[in-house]
Amino acid sequence: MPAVKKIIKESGFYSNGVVSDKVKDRGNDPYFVKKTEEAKEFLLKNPLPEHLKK
Amino acid sequence: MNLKSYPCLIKNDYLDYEFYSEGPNGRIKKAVRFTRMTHEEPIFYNLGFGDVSQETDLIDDNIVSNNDDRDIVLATVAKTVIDFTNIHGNHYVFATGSTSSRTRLYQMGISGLWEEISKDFKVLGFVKGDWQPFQKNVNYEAFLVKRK
Repeated sequence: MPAVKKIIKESGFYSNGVVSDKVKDRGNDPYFVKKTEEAKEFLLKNPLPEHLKK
Repeated sequence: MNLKSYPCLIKNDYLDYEFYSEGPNGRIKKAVRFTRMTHEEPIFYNLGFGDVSQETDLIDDNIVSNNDDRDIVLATVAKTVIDFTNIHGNHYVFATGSTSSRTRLYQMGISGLWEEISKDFKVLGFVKGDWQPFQKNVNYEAFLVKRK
């Protein structure tokens, strides 16, 4: 069974991606989990000011 | 954004990406992961990025790949942001290095490719307690990126 499902072609954008069912779900990777928690803490302490939200 | 980049494999939910860095240190698998952090507007996602260990298939922060392809890797990661935001919406993407030296590497990379990156992205940097529009030659602690 081919691993490649489809090739993305987005006019006006520059995607060079190929959707594949071989790509691992890394949502539970310890490093990514840790980095996300750190990012949340960082944004809680240092929120984006309103004048920069556009 | 017209920059040389590596071909990328994308998981069908567009949250996970994989590509290979090629250089003097061989072929190194890299992964990008977008993780949602907030559920109220504005929505923020964390951009996680790292080298995949051949032994464990997990991200190993201790790998120093040094494949002399910083700009190509950065362009590849930038394009994952394009693909991600095409599907999930134009949300803020937060990014920082695992160490201050790596964050500095990202900052140098963004500066070096600023002319192209700024065409498609608004970039904010955090420095000395404040968020501000990205400027070259400023050592930021973290970045927020949004599609224009």
